[in-house]
Amino acid sequence: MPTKVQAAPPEFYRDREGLGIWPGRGNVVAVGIGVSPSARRWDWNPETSMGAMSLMALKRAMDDAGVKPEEVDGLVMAQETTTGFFPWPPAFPPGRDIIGEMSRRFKPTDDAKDGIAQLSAEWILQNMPELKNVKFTIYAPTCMANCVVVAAESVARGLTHTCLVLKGWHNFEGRYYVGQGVAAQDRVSGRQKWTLPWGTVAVYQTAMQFQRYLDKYHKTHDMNANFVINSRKNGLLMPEGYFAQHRPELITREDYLHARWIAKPANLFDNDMPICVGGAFLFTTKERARNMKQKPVYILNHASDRTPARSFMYSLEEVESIAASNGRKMYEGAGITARDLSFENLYDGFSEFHLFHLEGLGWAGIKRGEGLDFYESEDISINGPHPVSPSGGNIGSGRSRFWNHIDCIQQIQGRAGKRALTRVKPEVAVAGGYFPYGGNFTVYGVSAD
Amino acid sequence: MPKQSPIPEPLDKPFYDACNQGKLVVQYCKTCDRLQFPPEPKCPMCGAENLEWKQLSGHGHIYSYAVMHDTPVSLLFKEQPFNIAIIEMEQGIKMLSHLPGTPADKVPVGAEVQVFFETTPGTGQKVPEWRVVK
Repeated sequence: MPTKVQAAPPEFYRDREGLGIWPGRGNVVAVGIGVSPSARRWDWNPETSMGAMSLMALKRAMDDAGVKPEEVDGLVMAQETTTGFFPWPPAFPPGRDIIGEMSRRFKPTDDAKDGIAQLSAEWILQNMPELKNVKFTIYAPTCMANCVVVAAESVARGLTHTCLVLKGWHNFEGRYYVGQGVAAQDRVSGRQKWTLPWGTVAVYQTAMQFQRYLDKYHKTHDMNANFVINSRKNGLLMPEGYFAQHRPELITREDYLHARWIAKPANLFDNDMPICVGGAFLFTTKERARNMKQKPVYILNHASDRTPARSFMYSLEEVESIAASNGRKMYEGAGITARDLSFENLYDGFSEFHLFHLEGLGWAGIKRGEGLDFYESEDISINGPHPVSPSGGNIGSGRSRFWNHIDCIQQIQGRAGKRALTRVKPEVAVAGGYFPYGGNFTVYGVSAD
Repeated sequence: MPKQSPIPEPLDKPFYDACNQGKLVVQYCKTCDRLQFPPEPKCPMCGAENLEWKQLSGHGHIYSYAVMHDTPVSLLFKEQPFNIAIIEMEQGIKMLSHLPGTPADKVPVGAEVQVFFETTPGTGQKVPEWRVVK
């Protein structure tokens, strides 16, 4: 068991332009994917807990790669497993000792939340003793996008040669935010005091940036419909995803145009849906990948943004500038241009910022203010010349923040099944997020060259 | 509209004390000639720690807005739908406002606004708010 696990240090992140080609370019590969079954909310059964799902995802990633547990020497993971306001402890079912049940099923740590409402490396490693050779463990905050970047950098630096990358999600009974935790109180402290008293919901910042976009470029909310429709359609072709497994419903144009507002101009379908799920990847060196089961997918670069906001939130102008810089950073470190991209899988947890990502990339040559016209007038499907979010993202499969990375790997490996691109050869792609600001991005490629 | 009471902490107590006196202040870095909000322990640009507090005019304009239909905050459930606007002031400093007096979803983006101060029910702490200047 490694001694106290640290968070990834700032120097791991390529967060400025002018860094040149990434030294790890083409030397780190993704070879295994593991995803647990998904659920809308936890049913309080230890076997379906977030911890259990995370352990399952790790095992599946190793099986997928054809790697034995004792070959793994590294673990990169996120400790946080929700963005919700759930109080601790949550409202456990009356008469049941859920924490006791979990501690009888799994080896507990000193923190009762482990495996239920957070994850620690300690909990993972003592419940997977077969990972006996893991010597390198590091935390990447919040998101799989962050974990992927940190894992890629860790392998590139020689800190680990066969590395599991893990993100788990839990979701309890009740509303995710509404009337929960601090939102139910008459007072608030910490940084939330600058926003929550005004009743802000998670999407508020994106909604305001999008409203500014609509005003600035003379567009309408309805023009975002095709993106959401396309995303759900693609998501239903991802068998690992929540909607494919539990609610195989397309979103029609009518559904989208008449959906209830959350924070106008963001409606219900502009917001992703929280779910329970665990996802894991296995990364290794290009040399070791030769002996593994799946076709290697090369990581050509990773890039991040850490630009502070001018004020308590990012303005549209700041977002546009950051997104453009992200595009330049992704291309610079990989040694590519926008024309080299086959497809993109940038984040869509709030549907409306996906177009900020696209415009920043210069995807299909679009410029600022052209994204919504692009959605409306171009074929953005998996059968078109400019596939947008072929994974379906969170809109398509529920909040995991890793469907996009999975799709990049599967498309390039030729394992995307019914989502396989039909007009474009999947050779180079980008994934990441979540927002343009504070985001972490990965460039995947079919070869090291 | 009722609001949750923000709990002042040492870093931001001058801001909230000023609100209680009907004044809008933000941090100011003399080295950078730069206003800062929300308060930070040091200037994000130069790292200087001796940030002063400077009073703003309280004039601004509406930068953008959203209309809340599904707020998480229990105190505001009955007020929905309501506006949340971003007010932009000197040097791009932005704060939030419910725009009292402006009907929901009738926000005049770009309009001039002027600060006043509302008392929050929880602790009596005052916070800035803005009205459209007619």
